[in-house]
Amino acid sequence: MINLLRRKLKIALAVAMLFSLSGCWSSKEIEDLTFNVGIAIDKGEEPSEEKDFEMKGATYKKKDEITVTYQYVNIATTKPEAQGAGKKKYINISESGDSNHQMVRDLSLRQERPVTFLHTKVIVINSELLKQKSLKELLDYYLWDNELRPSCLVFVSNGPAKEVLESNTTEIIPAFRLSGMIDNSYRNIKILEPMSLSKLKGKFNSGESYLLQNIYSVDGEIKLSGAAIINGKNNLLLATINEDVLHGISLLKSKTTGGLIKATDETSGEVFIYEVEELTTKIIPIINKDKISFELDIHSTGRISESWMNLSKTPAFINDIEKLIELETEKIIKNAIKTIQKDLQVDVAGFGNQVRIKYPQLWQKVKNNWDEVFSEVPIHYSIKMEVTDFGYRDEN
Amino acid sequence: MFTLKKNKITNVQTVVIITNYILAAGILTLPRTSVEAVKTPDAWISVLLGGVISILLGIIMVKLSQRFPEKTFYQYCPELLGKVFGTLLSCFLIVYFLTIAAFELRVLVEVTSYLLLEETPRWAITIPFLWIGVYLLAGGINSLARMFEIIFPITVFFFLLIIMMSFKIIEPDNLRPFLGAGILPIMKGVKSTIISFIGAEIMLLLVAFMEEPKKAVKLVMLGVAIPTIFALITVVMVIGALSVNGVFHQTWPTLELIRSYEIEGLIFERFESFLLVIWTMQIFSTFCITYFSSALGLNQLLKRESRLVLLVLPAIIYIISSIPKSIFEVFKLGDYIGKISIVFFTVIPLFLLLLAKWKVSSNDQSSSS
Amino acid sequence: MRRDGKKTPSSNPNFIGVLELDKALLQERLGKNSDVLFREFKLKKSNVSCLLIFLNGLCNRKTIDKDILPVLLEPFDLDDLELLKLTGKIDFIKKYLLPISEIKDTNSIENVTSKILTGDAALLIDGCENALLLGIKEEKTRSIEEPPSESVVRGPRLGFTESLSVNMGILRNSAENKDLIMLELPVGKRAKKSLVISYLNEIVNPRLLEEIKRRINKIDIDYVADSGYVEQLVEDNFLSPFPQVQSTERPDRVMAALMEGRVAILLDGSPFALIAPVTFSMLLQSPDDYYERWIPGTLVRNLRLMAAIISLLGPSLYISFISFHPGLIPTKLAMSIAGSREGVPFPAFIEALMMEISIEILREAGLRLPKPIGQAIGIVGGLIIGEAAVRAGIVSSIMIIVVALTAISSFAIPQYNAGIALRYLRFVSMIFAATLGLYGVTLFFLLLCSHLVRLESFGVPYTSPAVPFRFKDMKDFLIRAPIAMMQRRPSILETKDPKRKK
Repeated sequence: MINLLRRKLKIALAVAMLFSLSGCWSSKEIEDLTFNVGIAIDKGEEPSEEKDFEMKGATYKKKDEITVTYQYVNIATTKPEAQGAGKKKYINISESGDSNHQMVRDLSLRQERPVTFLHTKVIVINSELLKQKSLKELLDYYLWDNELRPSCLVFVSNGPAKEVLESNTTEIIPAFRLSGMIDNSYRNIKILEPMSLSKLKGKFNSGESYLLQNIYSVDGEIKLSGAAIINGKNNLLLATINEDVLHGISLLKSKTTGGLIKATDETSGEVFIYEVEELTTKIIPIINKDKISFELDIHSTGRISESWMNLSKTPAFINDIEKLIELETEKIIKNAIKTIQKDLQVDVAGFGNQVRIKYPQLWQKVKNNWDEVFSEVPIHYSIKMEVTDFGYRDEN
Repeated sequence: MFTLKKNKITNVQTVVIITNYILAAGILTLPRTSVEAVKTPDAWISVLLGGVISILLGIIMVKLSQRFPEKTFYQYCPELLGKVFGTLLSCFLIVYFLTIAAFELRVLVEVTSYLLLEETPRWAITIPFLWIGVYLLAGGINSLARMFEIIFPITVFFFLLIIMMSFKIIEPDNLRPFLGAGILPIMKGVKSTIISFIGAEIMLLLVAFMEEPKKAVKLVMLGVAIPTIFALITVVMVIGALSVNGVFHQTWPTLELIRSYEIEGLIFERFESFLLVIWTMQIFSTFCITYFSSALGLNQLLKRESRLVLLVLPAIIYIISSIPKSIFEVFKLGDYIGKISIVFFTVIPLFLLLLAKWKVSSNDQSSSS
Repeated sequence: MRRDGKKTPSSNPNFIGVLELDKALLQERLGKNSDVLFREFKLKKSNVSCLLIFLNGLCNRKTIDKDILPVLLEPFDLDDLELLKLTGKIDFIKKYLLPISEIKDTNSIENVTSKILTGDAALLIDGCENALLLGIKEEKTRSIEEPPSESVVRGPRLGFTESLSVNMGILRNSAENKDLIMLELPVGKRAKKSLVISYLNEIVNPRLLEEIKRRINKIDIDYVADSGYVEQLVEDNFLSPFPQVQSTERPDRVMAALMEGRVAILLDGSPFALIAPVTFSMLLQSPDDYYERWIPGTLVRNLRLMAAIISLLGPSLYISFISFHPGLIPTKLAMSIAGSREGVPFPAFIEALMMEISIEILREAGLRLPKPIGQAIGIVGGLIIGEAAVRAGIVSSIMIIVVALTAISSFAIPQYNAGIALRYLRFVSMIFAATLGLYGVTLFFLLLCSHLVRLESFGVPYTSPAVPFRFKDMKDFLIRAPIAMMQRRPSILETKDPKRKK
């Protein structure tokens, strides 16, 4: 009796499984997909092909708010036999409209293979566009799409974003080039910690202002230089800061790796380089009857890696150099702080964060207009640099 | 045939069953629910407290069950409360288990649909799952327990692996200040975290199957402690990487965490596939144990060993799981289950335990006098 | 006599005692066979008639010619006559005369008939109701060599042969062991064969023994061709892909199993001995693990486990990533796979299916060909056909790599029948992967585990020692603990004497 039931069960199971064979609904072969690796968003300006289509009547109801350039990998060039064949490894397609999702879907009106964002690495946005349109609105579709990975990085560009996604040589895929350059951040203090989509979500909710790496492009070459400050309240671009200011802010944020301080000797007028090995920045909030002030404590050890003048091992000399380096560091930091505190009145260096951690109750009171409060607080500096060695050389 | 005692589970199996039962859909949403309730990075403390309270509840239930050796809740409840109330309570428990099974199933379908198989119709995801559950359960509690013993180490291994790899995107500042807002928010948070840990109620049934029921107290402590640790690590990691603000509005924060990092150079750059695989297995185990519990209940209420029950229940579970129309309704269902379980499993076992003690003492009195 | 004139076999089951009549009885049964020879003579130059019946092909003619007949034909001397009067003919011949090591006397015609046909010689004496059966079978067997399907790097190069007595001898020879019992149970209703159960009396669990005896006695079949038949008739679940009885040609494997408390089954005519009960982990073990030191033993064992997983899940993971979740593989890999698959007309599932089936066909073909050609065809076939298929654009090169890796992994599994199970389960997993992607593979894994967990081999859970988890048994599962530490037998077998004597 039980065995009969069991047998029927097994037959039913087999038949039921057959149903599922009737369709592999979700399967899309990998070679039938187009892999988008980079997105560039510019101000709305129709690219030429679209203009032509529109003239012939092939268009739909839209406003040309933004132009998005999608970068795909040219699959034909990834074949092992096709290496070095001379064709460009990437393809850029531009669309303009007013809704990201609609534009993406309309790509299938122009292309054989559906686009997938599974491997998108970078999103670059034109800084001019960010002055008018909030970052949160521009990225809304990408933030919540299930294909685009939250590890995708966001950048700002000085000129047209789509030029960042161009390159001169056929070997380079610009999106990969960009994401690879970010990996260099350990080599240079002026490269910001990259902002991924997941971190961006947190920033949107918190209302704090933040920095995005700025990219300049010339003729298919790009350079990471400076940053853009995004206002936490409306997610619009507030201003851009240059590399020197960025250097200062990075120091404030205790970014150790890749830092070099260049100081000039007064007597000889020659420069020498202090290479940072360890750097600790402590931002200590001091509360005095509801008045906030900050004590900035920077301590670093490093070596003299390059010198255009003569060096000597004597303690006196070393002391002098250290003083010079400290002065230079103070200059950099003061410059940065002046820019963000007085000129721009926005805290992107993490001062507020320290208040939040150390004095949470006070923070609740000031956090809503922290930027104004911040613009008034006094800051005291205490900088100590120590030179540990001169590298391999041994001067007398 | 042999000496492997039929229908008895070993100590290790007991712990593993409890752990697998508790670890389920909750772990994906726990960071969000706890942070939404507490609103500070101290949510992990609520998680810890939730676990502790759950252990206490578990001990009460164990003590109750130990008074009736070899009998499950369905069997001793009518003894304590009389046929009417006892049967009513048992029915309620059966419905409770069925609902959890349906809920877990639905969550699985939602997540799998969203992340793995977008085009596949819901039924194609559910039905094979149900069938495999039926097949496993036809082997009785022994095969169930052994299955869990296989799933458990795999889960632990992969879970620790991927969580530890997310270290590189953690910012310790996100977890500070410690106790910045005081104790009160944490207490508020416990109400929502404890929902994720109600799982010790399985002890109402398991003690009857144990080889060594005397050790049940220690085992339930271990069995609840392990998921608590898991949940703790998860919440800490998620908040550390995404920050409190990043967790709001995020439906599946744990998944978000795993998707947020890539490790170049390793064979898999992306690790969410691992998480989804082990999570599917965890949902399967929770589903199986709830399904088993309700099947057991029906069998014991009707006082027969009917195989038919095994086939009917999945259909019911499927229907229940199709009821919520949107993901919001699904979460609402989860909340209801949680609230009911708090009431049910704090009040009732305690009440029954006291009742049992009183009955025994009054029996002693009446027999000695 | 029946009405149609055919002679019926007499209903009398026993010999009568009169030689002419008994001879007629035997001729009825055996006379048609040209290889059964009847030799009549007179005993020791007396008047007593005797009949020697034997099978030409199986009997040792030399023994008959040199040892039996001379003795029986020599004339009596005075002492003989005295003894003859005292003991009676049968006893005299049996106890005092014949220099044959194995003599039985029996009354039953059936018994004599079947024994003659298996190679014994029968001696009938006029006036005696009993006949004597002389065990002079000539073993025609090949030499003892290492079994080709189970070779090891280090260890004895011995293998069972088709002769039961030789096999029993090899086992006895492994070590001097007074506990080793060989119990004979005949099987086969029409064509009988000898089957021997072997176990260590002081160690084996008596209930296991009873169960095995019970199942063997239940075997109700005409002819048991090979131990494979016994395996299939005795196992718990015939629908399962996994073997619940292990078959091996190696005596050292058998001996080790016996020492653990398992039972071995030997069948006459089959070089494959059976070991029961069996657990999953035994299928991945090789005697090598124990002969080498413990660290290499452990590592190699884990390697084999990895190989088993690859051979089972390799193609299905490939299919699920390529067809369903390209987002889960690294970008550069995805690009190059997409590039290499450009122009391939089939979806990954069909591609994988085609290649896997081709490999299976190649493998089968390789088994039938003579040894040296078989190897070459395997390699040549694989490489060249694969290359050609890629060039023609039918399959992608990644597919070739996956399939080759899978095939090689399946060779790493020491037990052939486990390897077969994994081979066809791989196809099932591919189907799951092709319909539901990674979720499908997970479901397949759950299904497989559900099945394994429900499977039992003679009452022992198949997935021991992993589950139910017994810490004591972990020493021989994923790791191979140093010999000095392995002092207990597997607890799941509930043996009588759990501690291995030092």
